[in-house]
Amino acid sequence: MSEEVLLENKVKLVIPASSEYVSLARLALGGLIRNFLSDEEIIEDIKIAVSEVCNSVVLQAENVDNATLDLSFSVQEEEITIDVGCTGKELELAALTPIVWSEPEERGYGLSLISALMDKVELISDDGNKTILRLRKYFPS
Amino acid sequence: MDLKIAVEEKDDAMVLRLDGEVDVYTAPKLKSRLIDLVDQGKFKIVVDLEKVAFMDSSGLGVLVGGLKRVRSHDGSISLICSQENILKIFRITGLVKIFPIFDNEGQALESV
Repeated sequence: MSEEVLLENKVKLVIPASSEYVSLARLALGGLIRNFLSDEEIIEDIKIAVSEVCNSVVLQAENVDNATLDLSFSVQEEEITIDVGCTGKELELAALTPIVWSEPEERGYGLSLISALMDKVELISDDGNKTILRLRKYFPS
Repeated sequence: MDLKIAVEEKDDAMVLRLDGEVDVYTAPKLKSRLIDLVDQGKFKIVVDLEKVAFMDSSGLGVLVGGLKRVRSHDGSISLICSQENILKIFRITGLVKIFPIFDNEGQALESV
C-alpha cells in the first residue's frame, strides 16, 4: 500500500467537547471503518470504546470554554488506530479508572469496556506534549 | 440519533420502551424518567432495550442509579434485551449479575 493511500485513510475530526457531539464522532467512525471492514460486531465494539473515551473527555472539559475533542482515525490494512485528545483541558486517565465496588455504582464502567473491546490502549504525548489516548484494534485476518 | 421513551403501565409495573441511542447526551433523559417514576411511587419497572441501537456506560450508569432508587423502596428493575451488542456491555461490566435480563416482555413482567 502506498504512502498516499495510507494518508487518504487518515481522518481527523475536531468537534466541541460537548455531549451532543459524541454521536457525530461515532457516525464518522462507523462510516470510515465500513469502507474497510464488514464485521458489524467489531465496528460496534470500536464505536463503544471511542464513545467511552469521548464521554470521559466531555466530562473532564465540562466547565472549559471552547474546549475541543480532537479525534484522529487511521485505518491501515489490518488495524485501526484512534487518537483522542482535547484542546483546552489536559486529559487525566484517572477519570477513566474503574471503580472496585461491592455495591453496583453509577460510574466507572468506561475503562472496563475500552480494555475489553480494544486490543491496545495507551496514553501518549504528541509533539506538543498534549496528552492523547490511543486506541488500537486489529482486524481479523 | 435521539432517544425516544414510551411509558406504559402493565400488570402493576411500568414498562419503559427505549428507541434510539443511549449515550452521554441522551442518558440524562432516561435518568429523568426513572426518577419521575420513583417519585410517583412506581417501584416495579421493566426497561425494554429491544429498539436501542447503541448504548454505552452512560446508559449502564443510569440503569444502576434507577435500580438503587427502586431497591430502596423494595422495588426492582428488569430488562428486556436480546441484542448481542447490548448484552455484551452488561456481560463485560458484570451487570448481568445485577439486572435480571429477559428476551421477552412476559417473563420480564413476571420477574418484577
